[in-house]
Amino acid sequence: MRRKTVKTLADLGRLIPLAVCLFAGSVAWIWTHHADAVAAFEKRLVHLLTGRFWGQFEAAGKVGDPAVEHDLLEGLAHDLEHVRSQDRLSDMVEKCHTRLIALAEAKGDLDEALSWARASVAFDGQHVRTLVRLGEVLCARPETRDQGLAHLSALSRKFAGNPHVARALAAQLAAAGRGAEALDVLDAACAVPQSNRWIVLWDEGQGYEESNAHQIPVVVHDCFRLRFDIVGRCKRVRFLTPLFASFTLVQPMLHVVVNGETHVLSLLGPSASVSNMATAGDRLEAVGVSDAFVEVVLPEVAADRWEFTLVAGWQPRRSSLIASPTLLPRFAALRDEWANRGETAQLARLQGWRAVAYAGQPVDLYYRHGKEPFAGVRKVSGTLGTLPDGGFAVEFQVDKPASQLRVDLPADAAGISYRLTKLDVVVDGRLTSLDPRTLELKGTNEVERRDGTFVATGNDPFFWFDAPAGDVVNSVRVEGAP
Amino acid sequence: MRAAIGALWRWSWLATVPASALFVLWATQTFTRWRNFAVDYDSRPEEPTLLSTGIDQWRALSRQIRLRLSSAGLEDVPADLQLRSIQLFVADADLAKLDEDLPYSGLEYVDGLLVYPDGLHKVSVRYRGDFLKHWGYDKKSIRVRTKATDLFGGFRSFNLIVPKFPEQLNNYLAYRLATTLGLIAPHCELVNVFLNGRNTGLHEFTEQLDEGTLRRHDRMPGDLYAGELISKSQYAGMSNDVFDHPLLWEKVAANNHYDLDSHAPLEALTTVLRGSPSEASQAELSRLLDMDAWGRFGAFELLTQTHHFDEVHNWRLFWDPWRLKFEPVVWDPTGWAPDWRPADGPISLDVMASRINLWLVTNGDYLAARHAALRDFFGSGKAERFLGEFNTSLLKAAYALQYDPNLLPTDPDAVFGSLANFRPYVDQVFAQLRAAYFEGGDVRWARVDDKTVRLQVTGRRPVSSVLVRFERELAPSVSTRLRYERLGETIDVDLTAGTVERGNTLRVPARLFCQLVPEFRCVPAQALRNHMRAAAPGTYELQFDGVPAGNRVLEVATVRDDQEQSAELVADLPQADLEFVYRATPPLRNPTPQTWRGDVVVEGVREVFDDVVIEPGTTVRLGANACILFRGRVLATGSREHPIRFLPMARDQDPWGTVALNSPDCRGSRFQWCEMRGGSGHKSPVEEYTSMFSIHNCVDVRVEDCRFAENHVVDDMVHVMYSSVVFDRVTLDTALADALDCDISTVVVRNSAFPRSGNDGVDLMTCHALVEDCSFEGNEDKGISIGESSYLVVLRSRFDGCVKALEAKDGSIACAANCEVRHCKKVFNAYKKNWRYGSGGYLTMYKSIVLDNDALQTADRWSRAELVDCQVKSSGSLVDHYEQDYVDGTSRRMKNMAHIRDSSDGKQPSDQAPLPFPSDLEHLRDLAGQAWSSVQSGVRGVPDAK
Repeated sequence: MRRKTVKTLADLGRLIPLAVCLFAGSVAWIWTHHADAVAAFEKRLVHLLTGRFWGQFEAAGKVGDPAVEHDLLEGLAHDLEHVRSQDRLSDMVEKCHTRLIALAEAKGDLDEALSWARASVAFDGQHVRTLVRLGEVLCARPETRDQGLAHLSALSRKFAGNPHVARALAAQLAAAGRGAEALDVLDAACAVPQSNRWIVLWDEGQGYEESNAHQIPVVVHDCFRLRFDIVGRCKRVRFLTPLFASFTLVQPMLHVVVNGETHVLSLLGPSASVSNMATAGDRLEAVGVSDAFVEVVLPEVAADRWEFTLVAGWQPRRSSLIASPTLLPRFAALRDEWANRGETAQLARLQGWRAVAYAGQPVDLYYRHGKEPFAGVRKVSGTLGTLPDGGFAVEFQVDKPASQLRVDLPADAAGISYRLTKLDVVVDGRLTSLDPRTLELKGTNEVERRDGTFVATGNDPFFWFDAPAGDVVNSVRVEGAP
Repeated sequence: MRAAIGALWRWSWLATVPASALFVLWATQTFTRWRNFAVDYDSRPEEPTLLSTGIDQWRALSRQIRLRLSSAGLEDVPADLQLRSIQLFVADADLAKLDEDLPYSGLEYVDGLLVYPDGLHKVSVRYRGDFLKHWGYDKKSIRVRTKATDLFGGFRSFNLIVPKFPEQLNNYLAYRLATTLGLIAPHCELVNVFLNGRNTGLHEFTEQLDEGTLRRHDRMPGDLYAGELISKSQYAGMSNDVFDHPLLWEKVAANNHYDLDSHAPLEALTTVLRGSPSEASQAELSRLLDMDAWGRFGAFELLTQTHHFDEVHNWRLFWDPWRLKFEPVVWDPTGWAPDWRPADGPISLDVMASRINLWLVTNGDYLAARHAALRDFFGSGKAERFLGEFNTSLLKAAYALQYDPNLLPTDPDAVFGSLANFRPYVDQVFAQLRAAYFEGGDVRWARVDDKTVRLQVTGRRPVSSVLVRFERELAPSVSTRLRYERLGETIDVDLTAGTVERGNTLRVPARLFCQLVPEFRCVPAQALRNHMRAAAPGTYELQFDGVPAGNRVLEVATVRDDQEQSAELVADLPQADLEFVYRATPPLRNPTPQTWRGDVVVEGVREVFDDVVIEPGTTVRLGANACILFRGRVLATGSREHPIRFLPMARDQDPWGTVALNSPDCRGSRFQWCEMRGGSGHKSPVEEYTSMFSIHNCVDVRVEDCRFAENHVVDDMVHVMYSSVVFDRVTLDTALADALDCDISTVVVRNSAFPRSGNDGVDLMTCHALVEDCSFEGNEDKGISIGESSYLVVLRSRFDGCVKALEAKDGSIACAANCEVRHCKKVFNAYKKNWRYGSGGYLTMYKSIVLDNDALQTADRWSRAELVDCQVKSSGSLVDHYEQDYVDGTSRRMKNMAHIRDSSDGKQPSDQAPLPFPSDLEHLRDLAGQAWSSVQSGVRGVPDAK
């Protein structure tokens, strides 16, 4: 080798580490003085490493064709095989599995559904719904039905009172013709002591971010009482009920003592709003679902100490969420079967559960006049209440001009049937009673009327009809039989 | 100049090549670590970023290089400030396997070697911990598991844990404090961990909780529940509040008398916690919890300011099946953690992190116990001793950390700065607690009417009693009641039984508290501290009946922390609800005992809370499976002519269950001239009795001139647990298995006979015992079995026809003198039975006659079995080897380590000098010292009665 070449190589050998050093120095400088640049670089890097998975996942959700969606998700599931249950992408894997199970079921391939259900549990056995799903798929296959029931029974022992488990087990037992056992499951789930851990959140003006604390109420002689003080500013206070709790508060009032003055605020009044809870008359009901809360806007008072006492009459109630499978057609069939056989005790039990299931379910009434579309701005909401005979009813106060009315039955209730018996509409002060079994429907979505019964075929069931002639629809009342 | 630049250029590689290598190393490690723990793994609650990862990585690299280049090391630390070193060796391939796919790969055990005092031993090693700090950096938290028969310092499984916080000593010192307070806590010490000969830094050596932890704390093995619904243990689709899901608690130690799935006691506890507070439910809580222990635990929470025992994790609860109480076990306390340290403002004067806190802070029994624990800590020198240990530990840690190559946090200034600020913060905590709990607070009182006074208590110091002075002397018939109002209800407690009259003064045992009102305030980034409690006045009324009209109350004083404090008389005190105190003063026990006489019939399970007097001649007839569970003192004093008998109700019925004393309130019970026949035992989902007659959890019990016979079904005829009992002139005849089974108790047995037991005559576990002048005949196993750290003295007793006269195991020590052993298959045996114990048994028999037995004594290599100065035929004919049988059905051939000294065929002792009290039984001296002085050194065998 010529000397010049050697020198060139030696210089190159010196140059490269020097360049690396210069680069390192730049990196050190950026690291020290430009944290935002590092953060931006990190964001891009994360996108580079994981962005394509999100892209695939979103693309799969957008295609309308189940077969294509299936193939995309299957490919994605394959690409995500390296992901483990505590990884950041685990949610995507879990969703992927869930959707693949549903797609396989929809096309009738229960073997594939089972395979995905098992994969889902193997991926993360700490998901109650995933575990339940496996049980449901096992039950759907005649050859593994017993295994599925055993699996769900084991889950119901382990997660005593969990509504996801109890609902699935009851539904599967009913499907297997073991209706009485199904009701036993519901009874047992409701007998499990509920949580009593309420979370109080308060807003000092910046939202609820960090201002929360837990407390347990006192219930004495059917009187509910939750007492606490808040130190600091307070604009709103929110009462988050225990998860899956189910109870009725009668005449719930919040007593607020501030600056020596007492303000009494009704939790059913204009300063209050509820989420995932039902109101009926003077009652505020938690119906067994999650994230149920009531929120109260407080009087605008400058103060640093607030004394709160939430008082109400207390009534236990069974969870509508747990009761919900009794509205499925298989229970409706059981009802008819028990009625025909004269099994009055079982029938009464079932009807009691069906009444619980209806109660508290949110129902919306949309109205429109002329060519207006049905829209959120022309909507009133209500919840199903129970009638003394076990039936249900909901009433909407409208007081708006309307030529058509749309009843939106409870969402996420595919397969559930409603025996509507009465539809009273007051127009311009005149009551018109319509018969929902024969009423001419102007349109439906994911609901069918079979022999006078409305059966939800999807998760967004509604139907609409012409309002009786007149200008202003004052109110609408819908009633149903258990 | 040009030449200099040229030279610089020529030799630049000396600087640039290593610097480049360092940069490449940093960049690679930073990217890998960031990718693993910031992109792939969900490390929440920690959120490592590329920036922080790079900085951490740089600090770690530079520190490691600096320490490598430094000549100083741990060996330079002064000897008295050095920490123990743990030397672990793991093959590089196995380490690579652990690191392959963290954290998942780290949880599989690999083989390793650990340096024991006698050299290298095989162990299994893995990483442990839920969060990034345990395995996301160069310093790893490690779990080591030994072989069952090869414990390391008495531990089967232990953890070498990376300190979580900048102060490094949070857990270690919190565990030390827990031990100071008498809580059950794992053994913890600071150590330097060496992996493959290289220092990996300061770790906390922490025992893994198991049955051994309970044994070390003198608790009978029972269910030790772990409540963890966080990280990989948490579930989606439900709340992860541990008290809502009793069945999701795991057992880290289990009572093998119940199914592993059985959670009945925990279900009972969580059912209470999910209910509404009331006097009844709080009483039930007091029944289920060992309030003394919970009070100490509450004090521990305050002193350490830990909020780590929360709704979702960290709970370890021990259910003692014999005392029927839950005890908290301290685990991962993270004391004085920065997460819960106030930036400004007060510390937490009550910890309200979990639902159990919400309940307990309104329970008078708990409040009193917590206050007592705080008082003991601050008032008995414990605080000073603890702080002394604190300082020493800080110093030791500071030295160790100087040479720790893997500091965490990686910023040395943060670590050493935190160490410097640690003690001042603890001082601040202690000072604020002292001020809040022991200073201030007063009592005011007002007359309501002639026989009622109203009191208002402020401040956190509980009132333990109230002194009420009247104008004139009182008649001896005054009755006193404590009353308070809550939500429209009146709580009324009759205190007459505990009230003491002296002249014109009444001392009323009214325990009164202020109220702790829930007070929410937003503490940024410390959500668990949002719920605090504010001290508010508590209002009570004392009512006196039997005070003549006109004899008014003159003055009132209260006793707080043993000091009398005058109450201030005010014209009027408004009545006010006592919303936040339950069981301020619990109901007093009924002072009048029940009297049983004649024929008493018992069917089913009868719980008797009152004291009971059973008159001579009484016959208690028990139906099949019937039980009497006494919770108060029993005086069953029969006579030779009129014995008291506990018999089956019908001749051919199934056995009755048990007669049991089980409560500290049974203290002082007496059974004399009693006879029990036909019983068995009792088992419910939460309570078990393994004998016909059970004495649990009470002291100062005497059983005299009694006879027990014909027990059925379960193991023992008489069972003693957590008690102190004297048996005198008692016969336990033909027991089904063990005649007298004693666990964790102090027992004296005198002048008693144990004929024909189906198993052992006396079975001792972790007991202190004295056996004098007894006979053991025809026992189908041992005359006396001495196990699991028991200490025993046996004097003047005869063993005839037993399989073994005596057997000592597992750290037990027994000495016998002036005894006779005849016709037994083996004289005695000493061995190591349970791997949890480091040693076998130690048995020495002095001045005794050992004749006509099939075999002399045997001992394995962990044990000692000696005959000293005894009459032994064929003296010296000990077997060289023997078969030692084990409970798992296996047997091993052992070399016999037993000895015979100074013994002969004759009756004449070789030495007549008085026998000194055995030095290895020193802690039995109080119990057996006097009895030992009666040993006749001039006699071999049982001396003739005078």
